[in-house]
Amino acid sequence: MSASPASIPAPFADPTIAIEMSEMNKWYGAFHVLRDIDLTVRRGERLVICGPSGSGKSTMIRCINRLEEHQRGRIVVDGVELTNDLKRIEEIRRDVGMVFQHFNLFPHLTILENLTLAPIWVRRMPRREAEENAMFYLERVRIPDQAGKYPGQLSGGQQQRVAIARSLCMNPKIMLFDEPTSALDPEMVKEVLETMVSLAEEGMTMLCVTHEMGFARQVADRVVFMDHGQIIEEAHPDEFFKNPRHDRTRLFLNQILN
Amino acid sequence: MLSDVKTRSILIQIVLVAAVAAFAVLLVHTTFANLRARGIPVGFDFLAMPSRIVISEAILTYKSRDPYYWAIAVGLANTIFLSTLVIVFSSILGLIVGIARLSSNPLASGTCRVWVELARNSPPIVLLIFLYSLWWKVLPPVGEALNPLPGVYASMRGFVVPDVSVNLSTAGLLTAIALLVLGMSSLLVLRNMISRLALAPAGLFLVVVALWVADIRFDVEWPTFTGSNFSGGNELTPELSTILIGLTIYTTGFIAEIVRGGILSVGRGQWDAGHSLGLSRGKILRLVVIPQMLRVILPPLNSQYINVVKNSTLAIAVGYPDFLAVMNTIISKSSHSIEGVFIILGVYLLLNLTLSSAANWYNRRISIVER
Repeated sequence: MSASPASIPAPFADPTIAIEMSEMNKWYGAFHVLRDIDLTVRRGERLVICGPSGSGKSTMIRCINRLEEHQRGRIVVDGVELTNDLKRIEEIRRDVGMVFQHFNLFPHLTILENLTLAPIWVRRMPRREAEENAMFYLERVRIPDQAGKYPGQLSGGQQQRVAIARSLCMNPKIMLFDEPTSALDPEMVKEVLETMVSLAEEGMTMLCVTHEMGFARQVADRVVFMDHGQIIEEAHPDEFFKNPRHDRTRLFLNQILN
Repeated sequence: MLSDVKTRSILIQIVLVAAVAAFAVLLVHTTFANLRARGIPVGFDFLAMPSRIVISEAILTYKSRDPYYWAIAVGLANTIFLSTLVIVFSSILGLIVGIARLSSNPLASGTCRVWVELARNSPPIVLLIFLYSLWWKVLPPVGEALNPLPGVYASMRGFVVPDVSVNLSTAGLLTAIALLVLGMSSLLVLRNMISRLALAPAGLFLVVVALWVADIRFDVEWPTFTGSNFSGGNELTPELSTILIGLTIYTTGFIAEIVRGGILSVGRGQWDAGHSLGLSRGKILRLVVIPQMLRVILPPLNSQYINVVKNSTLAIAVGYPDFLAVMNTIISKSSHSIEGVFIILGVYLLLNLTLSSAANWYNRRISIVER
């Protein structure tokens, strides 16, 4: 939690709220990528964000851990508002895990070293403790036998599971998934989704950009549909898939489900 | 049989090699015959004879009655000494300048850009002659030497710096080493159980205690001005300083560009991953980007190191006796020009092949494991 009371105005101090975005806008030069995003995520909530490509969904979740900077509006993560204050940004990043489309494992380090790097250098954890911690999470994603290998020696599905374990090693409060299965061969999608489902079942706060509608139906508490940098519609998956309110949502669902 | 692709290619190669070898034999034979006809001695016997040449400065001890082979060794030592210093300094500076060029601070990136462009776009010899001429234009005569740091003097005659010698007793040294070994090995055992945060101070504390126990005294000999010159201290001549500074400035420009390219070659995803784990920019650079960059920049970096060895021959322009300068003197003194040129070629080939194979070995050692 931030020490500065100025960063926690009354409505955001609610401890049940994990992420609060209000009137958030972002531009790439003259291009308006995100328009007036208002989104509140409660602790333990599982959000699936979908929408056509270029709709700004990846950019939006990348704003949450400040991989992208927003220009207007506010984002409060875990009670801390994102500003230019580097200390706060790093504080938030420590507690927000992220999984990328292209895994982004560190190719020059072994799987075990990938998992222990941040705990050792950011959390100042002794090496042995960090390694025990890493092995615990490798077992959770069911690849403890690969600990000594390098990322290049693993299949895509295994690499993505390592990436999930790498984030979990920091013991995050929130997990962001940026199209985690889009770069995978079809037969490997399942193993990664299973890992994510088990994480969801444990009550992790999750925001997931994905086109896996089966996953959305199974675990999401809410599905958010975005188009042209705006949130068009958000609803419980049953509602979202059965009666989408918006024409654009209907069009999108038709395209990806048929 | 002649239509078989393999047989034919082997035959062609045999014929080619034979032709080249025959031409080489013809060349050597004619040269030696002509030299003998003019009464010019041929062979490497002269190497053992006293050289009687003058070498203005050397890091090895040299007297003019030493034989030729020793003069060659002295020149070679100067070249290796100079090249090593330039390689070390320009690698460190190149890394800093290369990283600073990517800085978001316009002053830092701008300054480094100017450095890189100046170094890359001017012929090195112009830089050397310019620097060497500055020596007499900018620096005062020895009597009015500048004293920028305590004990450091700069004048027309070069730099003078304090001479440091280490003084210690065997008993103290042994106790200190025993202490260090004991302490470090127990730290090594504990390494996995304590935080990295505590490890470095513990190690530092050990070193300080060991130094204290060893009772090492550093005897510093300060240079003093004695009316006409400095006595005491270490002298760095204007010639060595010029070639050292000039080649370092020049090579740094190239290495900085290689470093910059190397950093940019590491994908944005690696930075994203590092940031998302809470690592700071500096830590991502050190732990993630630089280790991966090293693999990319090693081959072009090695070419730069080879260039340093070759460019060290420009020492002749400012009068520093490097290997080539010494060889030139030897050739004109002994008139064994063909042998001399062979020695020159052989030595530079050997130096650069050594550098290359060291780089290749390191490259293999750190290459990224792929499936």
